Amino acid sequence: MNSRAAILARIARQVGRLPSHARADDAASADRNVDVVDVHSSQKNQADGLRPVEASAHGSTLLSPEEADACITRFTALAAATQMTVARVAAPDAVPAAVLEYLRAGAMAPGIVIDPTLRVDTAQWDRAGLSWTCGDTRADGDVYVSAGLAAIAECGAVVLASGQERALRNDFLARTHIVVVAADRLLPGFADLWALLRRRPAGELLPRTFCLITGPSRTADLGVPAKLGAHGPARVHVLLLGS
Amino acid sequence: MKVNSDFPGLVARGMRDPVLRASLNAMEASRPYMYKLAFDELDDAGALKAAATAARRRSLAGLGGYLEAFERNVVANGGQVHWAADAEEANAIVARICRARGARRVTKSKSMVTEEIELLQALESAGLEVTETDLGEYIIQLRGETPSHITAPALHVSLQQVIDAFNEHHHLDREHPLTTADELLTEARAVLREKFLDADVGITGANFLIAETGGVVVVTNEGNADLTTALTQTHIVVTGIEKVVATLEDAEVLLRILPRAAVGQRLTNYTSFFHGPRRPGDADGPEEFHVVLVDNGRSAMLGTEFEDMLRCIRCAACLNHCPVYTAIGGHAYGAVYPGPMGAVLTPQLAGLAGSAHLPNASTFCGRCAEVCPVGIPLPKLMRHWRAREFAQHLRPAGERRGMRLWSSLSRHPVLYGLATQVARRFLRWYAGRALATGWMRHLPWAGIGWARHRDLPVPPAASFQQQWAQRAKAKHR
Amino acid sequence: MSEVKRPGRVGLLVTCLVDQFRPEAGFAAVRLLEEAGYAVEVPLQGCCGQPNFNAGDNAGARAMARRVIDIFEDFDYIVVPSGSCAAMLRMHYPGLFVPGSADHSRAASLAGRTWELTAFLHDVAGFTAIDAHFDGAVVLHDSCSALRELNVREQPRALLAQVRGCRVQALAGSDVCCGFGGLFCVKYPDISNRMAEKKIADLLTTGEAADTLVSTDLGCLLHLAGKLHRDGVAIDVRHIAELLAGTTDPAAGRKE
Repeated sequence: MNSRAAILARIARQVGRLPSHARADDAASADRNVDVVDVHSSQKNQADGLRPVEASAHGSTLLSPEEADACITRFTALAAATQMTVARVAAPDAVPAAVLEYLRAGAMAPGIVIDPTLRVDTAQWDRAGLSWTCGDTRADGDVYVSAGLAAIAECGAVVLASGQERALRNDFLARTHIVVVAADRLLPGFADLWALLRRRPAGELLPRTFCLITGPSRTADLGVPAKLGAHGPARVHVLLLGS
Repeated sequence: MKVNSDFPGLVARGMRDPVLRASLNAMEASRPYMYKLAFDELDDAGALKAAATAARRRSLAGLGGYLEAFERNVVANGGQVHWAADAEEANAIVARICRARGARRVTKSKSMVTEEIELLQALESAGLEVTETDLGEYIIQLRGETPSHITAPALHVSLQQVIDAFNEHHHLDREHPLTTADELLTEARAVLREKFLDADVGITGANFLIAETGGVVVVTNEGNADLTTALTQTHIVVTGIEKVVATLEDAEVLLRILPRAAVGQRLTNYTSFFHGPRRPGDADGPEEFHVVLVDNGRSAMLGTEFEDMLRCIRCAACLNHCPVYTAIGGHAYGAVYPGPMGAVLTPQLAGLAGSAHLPNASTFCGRCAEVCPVGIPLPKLMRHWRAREFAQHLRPAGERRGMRLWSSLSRHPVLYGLATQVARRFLRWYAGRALATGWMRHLPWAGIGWARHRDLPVPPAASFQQQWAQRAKAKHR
Repeated sequence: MSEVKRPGRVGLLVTCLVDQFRPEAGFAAVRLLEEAGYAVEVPLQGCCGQPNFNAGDNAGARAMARRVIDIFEDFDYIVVPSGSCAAMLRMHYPGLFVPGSADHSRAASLAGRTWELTAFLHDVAGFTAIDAHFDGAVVLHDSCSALRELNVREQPRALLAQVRGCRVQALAGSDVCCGFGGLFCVKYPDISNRMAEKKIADLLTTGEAADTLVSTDLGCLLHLAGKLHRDGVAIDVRHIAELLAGTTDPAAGRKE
């Protein structure tokens, strides 16, 4: 008997061996096999009253202006707590200037590597006075500007995903990481991320890899407070695009 | 699984170590506080813990089905699933995959199950160069040590000792020797980046496996798991079978609670979901994605009085709050898993005979069970082990005889009264001149353990029950 | 001697440590219960079985439990001047027996009528007539059993607050074990000692320098008293019952 069969057989044999009075609470949970389980009660407490949201056909979330502002405020506050800075940008055209401003403020050279999926007209980078390449980071020290899949307000996290045109590895290799996220992809809560991911076309799989990032790479193994830039980016800056 | 059973020796060594003592004092002062802050900020921490416990119970109640669903979905994503009954088989599977891929260099992120099965040693024996990429694990790899804490493996290592290890093992052309933590960080980043870029195979553990999607979740603060997997053509996940959860939502609940319980954070810096190998047209990603499901004694716990232990999410809250752990440190437990969770898990995975001492080194204060985010009744499980030991005659004969005697006496209160009177008289005689002071500095037999560090008030000539009986008699005259 | 004003007979489960080392605490407990208006009896008794239970001797613990149930089951209340012994009856006795058996019912019934002393006085008797005076800076040590197994936390504090002249000091790390743990303290004396050292370090940092340490549990108290005395620290140790009853016996180990 191979190990798979042996392991599954032992599991089948053992589960349910305990006398019934010890199994009382498990009976209820066992019936809910591979169901989408309702844990929204605990999420409500987490989300500061930010409700899970119905998504429109276009994939944008339907938040009232007040709810959207609350999301941005919450996201920004949580991000700050984990050393991730946030700036707002009105339109894609304004992204290069915002990037330049960030680099200048941090005394960094105006050279960047761009994520191919970032929807910014390349001429705009030149006009802003940035030297740029599109594709992979080459050296540790590079600034990488990437297109984020989404952001989550209640966690203060941006979501980066693998894809057809973008190499996820650059998000971790860069020394400085700038993430551009559409404001209508700033989701109130975790649950909304699942809704977003599940809303992909039928037959299409989930992104191969997606990652929630709350700030720079950090370690406490060399003392506290934690040191930034352990392996991944030492700086993470978010540009929230649009209103 | 190996256990060093020389508990007294290991404890003595740990308690004498000033670096360890300083680290444990710092941990004791900060980690419970961080835990408290992280849970106090929630409107209803109890509800989150209940939801987390329910998610884990659900996993175990349907474990077989969820593992099969997980396997189906990993395969649908283009990955491969391997089942390993024990450590040896798991190591053989990983080595075989590495060989098949022509690998020479391996990077890995932190995984307690890989420590449990001693994967590193097995791969090195197979001629592979393996680099631990979690900084704490890297440090202890350089020092040739085992981890002393589940989430902070190098807790017992001082900054100076890290400097010494780097100086000894890195043969870099430095202008001057390293002296600060920042310099260490810069060097570690550079050294490990080379390793990431050169690696053929990346090995990670898994915090959770998602049955619904075939996803593998790995959480880190450093991002080393992401670099391990993003830069190689083969990603191997090594995981215990109990890590599977039903849905994305169940994973979410556990991802909310794990960082809070472990390190007082709302979320770890990186929370990554891996769903198989590179897709056709993907810009990057590993060509092959393997999940090695390791049993190694876990399935045997189902349906037994130890089943609750399978809920463990390896947050280490129990370690962080345990007064015994903070007195002796992780290495004193002599096995991969220290602290209260180790005291319950080690006898199961390594056999009771060599690890019988672990469930005994506890006062049952209950702080571990109180902080466990998935409600594992750790002291009760330790007591179950003690009961097995007693039944199997693994305790010293003198202890068994003492228990039998005590039970017999107690069931006959008159005898109990007489026997304890004899004992008190003996002690009062033994006290000698100290009787007048009210305190005894020396005690015979089993009392030696007491008297090593404590005095004992001299027991009274008459017990309460004797005095009570005398007063009752006096009243009736 | 107080009048019996309350219905129900109280059986005092004196506990081995009080019986053998600190009868004063037992008499203080009786006095408090009588002042609260109860008729108190102390049937001839042995150990509740906790050492055996914790050592894994389930058969021994079961046999001892049966004996205790026999001795105490006709009482309306079983009151115990110890959190750990009270917890043994309340939380662990029923689990020693097969559910559905007669023994199990008797154990469950006894468990429901068993109370740690301060919990009984505060929660059941609603006793607010503590008539005691104690001029001192007092620290209350919470035993782990009282705290975690029985949720006894507010009751001893509420009762202590009624003692005139008593200046109760908050204790840092009050939820951390003192290192007694029954047989643990003799099996692992060095670990036990390290835990006691930390507890004593906290004792020495109270707002006003403490002169008296009290607790619901004598095991913790003997362990800490022994360490305090060995280290030459001048803090008196008493069972909380003694303070509440206004008894004037010398503190543990003292002669005057």
